[in-house]
Amino acid sequence: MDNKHSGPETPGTVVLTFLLLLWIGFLYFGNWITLSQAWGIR
Amino acid sequence: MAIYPPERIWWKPLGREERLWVTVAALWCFFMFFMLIGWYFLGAQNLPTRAQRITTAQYKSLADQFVEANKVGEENGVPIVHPQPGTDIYLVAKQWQWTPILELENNKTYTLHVSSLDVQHGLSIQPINLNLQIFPGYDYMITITPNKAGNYSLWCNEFCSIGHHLMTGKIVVK
Amino acid sequence: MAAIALPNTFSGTRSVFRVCPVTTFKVDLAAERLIIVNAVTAIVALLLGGIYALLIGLTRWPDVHLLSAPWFYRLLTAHGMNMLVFWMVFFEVAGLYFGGNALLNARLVGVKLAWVAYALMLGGAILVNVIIMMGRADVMFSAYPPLKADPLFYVGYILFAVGAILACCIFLATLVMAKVEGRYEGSMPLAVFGLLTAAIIALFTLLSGAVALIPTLLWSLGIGNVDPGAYRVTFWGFGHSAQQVNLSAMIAIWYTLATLTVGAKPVNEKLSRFAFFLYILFINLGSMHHLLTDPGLGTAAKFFNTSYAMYLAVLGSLIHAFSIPAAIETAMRKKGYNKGLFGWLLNAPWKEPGFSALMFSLFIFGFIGGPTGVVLGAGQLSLLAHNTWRITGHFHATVVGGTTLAFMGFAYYVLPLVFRRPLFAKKIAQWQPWVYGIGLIILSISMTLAGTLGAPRRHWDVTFSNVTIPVQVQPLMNLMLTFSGIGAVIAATGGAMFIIVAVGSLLFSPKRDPKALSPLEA
Repeated sequence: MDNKHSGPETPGTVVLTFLLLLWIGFLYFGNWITLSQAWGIR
Repeated sequence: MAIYPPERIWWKPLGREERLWVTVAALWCFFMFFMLIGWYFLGAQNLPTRAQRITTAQYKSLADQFVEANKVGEENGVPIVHPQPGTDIYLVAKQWQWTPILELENNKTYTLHVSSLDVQHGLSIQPINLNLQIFPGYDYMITITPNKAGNYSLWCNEFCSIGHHLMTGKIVVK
Repeated sequence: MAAIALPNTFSGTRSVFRVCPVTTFKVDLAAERLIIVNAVTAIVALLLGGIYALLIGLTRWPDVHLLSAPWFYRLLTAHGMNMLVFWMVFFEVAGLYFGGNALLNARLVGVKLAWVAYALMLGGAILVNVIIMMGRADVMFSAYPPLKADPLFYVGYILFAVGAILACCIFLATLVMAKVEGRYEGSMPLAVFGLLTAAIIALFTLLSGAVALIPTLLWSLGIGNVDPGAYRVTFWGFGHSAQQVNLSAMIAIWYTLATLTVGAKPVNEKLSRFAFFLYILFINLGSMHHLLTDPGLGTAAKFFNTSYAMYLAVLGSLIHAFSIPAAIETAMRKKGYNKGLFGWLLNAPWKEPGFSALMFSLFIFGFIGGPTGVVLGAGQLSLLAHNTWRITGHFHATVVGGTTLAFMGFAYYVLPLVFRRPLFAKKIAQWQPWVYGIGLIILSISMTLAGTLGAPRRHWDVTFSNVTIPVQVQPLMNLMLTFSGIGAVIAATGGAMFIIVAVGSLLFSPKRDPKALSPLEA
């Protein structure tokens, strides 16, 4: 086995994990936008 | 085979896709960390940082004085107060009522003191959905600047014994 | 049954093993008995907690509103204790003995002590349940002072923790002895490494619990005082970190199930072990997530801890989120399912309960529980979410949809391989992860959305009837509460299906040679 590659390619997993990252980003930024909108708590 | 010992030499370099993913994931993690710090300096709302120890008796007497000086009415036995803008205002958490009802002026900044006279409570301001944990023995000082007129509901979101669901209150912004 | 006896180093005694004909592992019979009693006790706790879950779910469904307020709060306390503590920890102790003994062909060190640990845990669990049902501890799982429970409640909590500490120490001693006696070659298997991670985190967790609860016990007896803020710091060192133990155990079980169901091999052992190592170093900092909106703690402390020192524990989770599906994809492609991007996924053994449980667990944890946790734990964002039902939605997607479902999938292998009984009602087992998983997806998403609209957690009456100062509730919240009720009923059905399969297999399936029983060949 090629020493640089610990296994065969996994294109499906690459797509799934990048979808996951997009989803986390969506939730994350959505909440920050909500937080910027009220009462200026400090 | 995760349930058998690995081959003798398992300390192998990462594959191309793994390297890519670990790099992207690590960058995202560092970004999230610096977001917290950046927001602390630039963000519109932040976690309140001011608090001091106080006995429940001391806090009660401060809040009583505040109500006496600023009382303008009553609703179902709960006093309504209208304090001067820019001053220190006091909210009391107790089983099972937020008191008094605060009448605030729009776009004015106040220092809101909150503390409990008995057990822990959760201050939940609705519908803007801002939530803070309230202790007895700690005077929590929160800077607020209401920016929209209307009625705001308060309820308790920390279990405070059997009448927890009865605990409500109100802030009116005029 | 082929039994063999091997001499023990130091003590001169012998341990008796049987050889598993499916896996060829040598299983210490003393360890096997302990695996069985701990697992059965866990399932009893799950049954109790599940019944309470259904009643609580039907109470928070506004149109049903089943229980009275005192019983709602009482059963909510009992639900939390039985699910978050007793079901999880008893099952994890069974898992530790399974990993430390069966997977390493090792003997259990300190068999008598292991029974003492079990007795302490069982005694503590019974005491806590009895005191709660007597109405003397309506304080919730978190038991924040100055809300006071009967001293015996804290005694039960502490006894259980001491038993669990003992069990972790026995596991660690077993690992050392397995190495000393040369029961396995080279490095320990990845699954055992994951369990070791869990045990190390568990020791910190349980000691934190002792630091929180022992002064609280004294205070409940009238000795000294407990600061509410300090209690929360130490309690969540137990309460939240316990969920990190569950997380590590769950991931160890994910790797195990991926191996058992599709023959997956970790893509890169180094990377997976590194990810577990990140957990050991950083994940317990996350217990400060609960304290973000507390008075009295500095911002720097909040940011350092809740970001797990720059989100390094999140990095660990993101690594597992890649390496587990990658291992499955690699194994499936090797079997020839090479069509397109997702041919390997579509052709996977979805009818096999161990596999569907693994995939639902991965999905619910990966796409709901984990991401909501990252958001809720992000410093300032806690202002939007603290103590709302978003928190409850988050941890039902992690500890229930994630961990519990993974444990259930694992049980479908433990029943035939350790208990040596064929699965009772296989059809029910086949659909169980689907019903449970879908119920939990509905439950956790609707809880999260209700919380986004302000619904508080641990609350009997979100319609706020009979209050002194009337409040306005967003109309959509009621709809979300109704959905959550429906989700709870579906999930409880799935839970009942698991209990039927587990208890049915124990009571009605004849004990047989496990060779014929592997779910893979069923």
